[in-house]
Amino acid sequence: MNPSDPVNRYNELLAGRALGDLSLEEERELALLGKQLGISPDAELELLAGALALEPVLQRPEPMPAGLAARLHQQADMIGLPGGSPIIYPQVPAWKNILLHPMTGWAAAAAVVILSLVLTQTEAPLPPEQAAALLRSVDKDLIERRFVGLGEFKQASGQVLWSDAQQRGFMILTGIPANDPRKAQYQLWIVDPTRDSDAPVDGGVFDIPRNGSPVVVPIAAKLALSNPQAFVITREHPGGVVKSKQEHVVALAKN
Amino acid sequence: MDNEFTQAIMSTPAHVTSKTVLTRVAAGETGAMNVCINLYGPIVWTLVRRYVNNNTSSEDLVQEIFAEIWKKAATYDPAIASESTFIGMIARRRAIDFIRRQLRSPGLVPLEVESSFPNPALEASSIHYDAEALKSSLETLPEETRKLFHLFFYEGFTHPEIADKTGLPLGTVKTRLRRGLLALRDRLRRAGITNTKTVL
Repeated sequence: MNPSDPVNRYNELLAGRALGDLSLEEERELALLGKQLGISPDAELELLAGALALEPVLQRPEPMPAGLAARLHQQADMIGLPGGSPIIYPQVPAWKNILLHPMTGWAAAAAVVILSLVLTQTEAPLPPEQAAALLRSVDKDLIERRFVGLGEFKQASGQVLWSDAQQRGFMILTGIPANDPRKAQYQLWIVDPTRDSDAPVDGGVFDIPRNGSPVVVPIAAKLALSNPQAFVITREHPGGVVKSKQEHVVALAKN
Repeated sequence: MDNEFTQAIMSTPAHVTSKTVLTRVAAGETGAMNVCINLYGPIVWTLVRRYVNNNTSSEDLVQEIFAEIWKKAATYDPAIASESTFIGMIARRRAIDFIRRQLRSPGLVPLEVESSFPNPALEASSIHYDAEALKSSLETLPEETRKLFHLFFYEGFTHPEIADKTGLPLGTVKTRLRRGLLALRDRLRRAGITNTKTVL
C-alpha cells in the first residue's frame, strides 16, 4: 500500500475512524480528502470493526447491574406516552416535572442522562445559565452569539455558545415553533470560513417540543470547527439534509 | 438477566433470536423496547464495559445508547446488517466517542448527546457474516496482524497497552491495525461476505 496515494490514505483514515483512533487533525484530513475525492464514507469498515468487537462479547455477555436494568425497563414502559425527541432538553422547571411525572419515556431518559452530564456531578441540575457558566469557566475564548429570528420565525431568539478548544457547545432557544418530527425537523448549520469548503458544517438535527421553551440543544457538529463565524437554523425534512436549500431559514447568529 | 436467558443468548446467534425487535420498536409496539433491553442489554453493557471502567459512566452510557437505539430503530434495515451488528455499532460508536472526549478534554463533563463520531451512510454497505466466515477470513491474515486484532478486539487493550505488550512503537500498532482491518475487508469482499456500493 502506498500511503501517499490519496485513495489509500483515505481508506486508512476510514479504518482509523472505524477503530476509533483518529486524531483531530486526521478527522479534518479525512473530511478534506473525502471532498477532494468526491467520496462519501459508508459504514462498511465500522460495521466490520463492530462485528469483530462484538464476537467476544456475544460469547461472554455479562448481566447488567440490576438497578440499571430496572431503570431501562422503567423508561421503556413509558414509550408511547406523550414525549419528544430524545435530543431535546427542556429547561430546568420542565425537567423537574419530568422527574416528578415521568411521562415522556425515552425523551425523559435521554434528558436524565444529558442533564446529569451537562449539569455537573451534583444532584441538583443546573439551569442553562449555569451550564453556560460552566463552559465559560473552561474556555475564556468561548464564542457567544445571539440568534435573530427570520421571516416567518421572527419570534425566534436565543443564544449559541461554542468552545473551539473543547469542540462542544449548545444553543438556548426560545420562540421557535414546536415541530412534528415525522413531518419536519430543525437543523443547525455552522459557517466556518477556515474550512476549505464553502459548505457550512452540519451541526445536527433537533426538535422543539410543545411546552419546553426555552430549550437547550447541544451542538453535534459533524466536523471539527475553528472559530465559526455564523450559526444558522433551518427547517428541513425529518432526519435533516446533507445540503440545505435554505427554503425555511429560522434564525441566524453571526458576528 | 437470568441464567436461562444468558444461555439462550450465548447459544443462539443474535440475528436469529431477535430479528424483528427493532422493527417492533420502530412500530411503537408495546413492550418491544423491553424485549430489546432483555436481548441486547447484556451485550451493550459488556461492550461498554470493555471501553469504560467507571461504573457510573458505563451506566449513563448504556442509557444513552438505548435512547439512541429507540431513536434509530426505524432506520434499521435487516438487509444491511444483523440486528446485533447494528446495535453493537451504535454502542461501540458511543463508547468510542465517550473515550475520545475524555482524552481530549479531561476535567470537563460532556455537554453533547449527539455523537461527534462521524456518521457514515449505513445504507451504502452491507455486512452479513457468520462467525465461521469471519474466523476463516481472519485466519488468512498475517500472524502478527491476527495477534494485534486479538489484543485489540478480543482482549480489549488500548493502542498504548498493545504497544507496551508487543514492544512495537505506538504508531506502528495504529498503522498495522488500520491496514489489517482494510485487508480483512478486502478478503471478505472477495469472499462475497460484505459488499459496498461506494467505489473506493
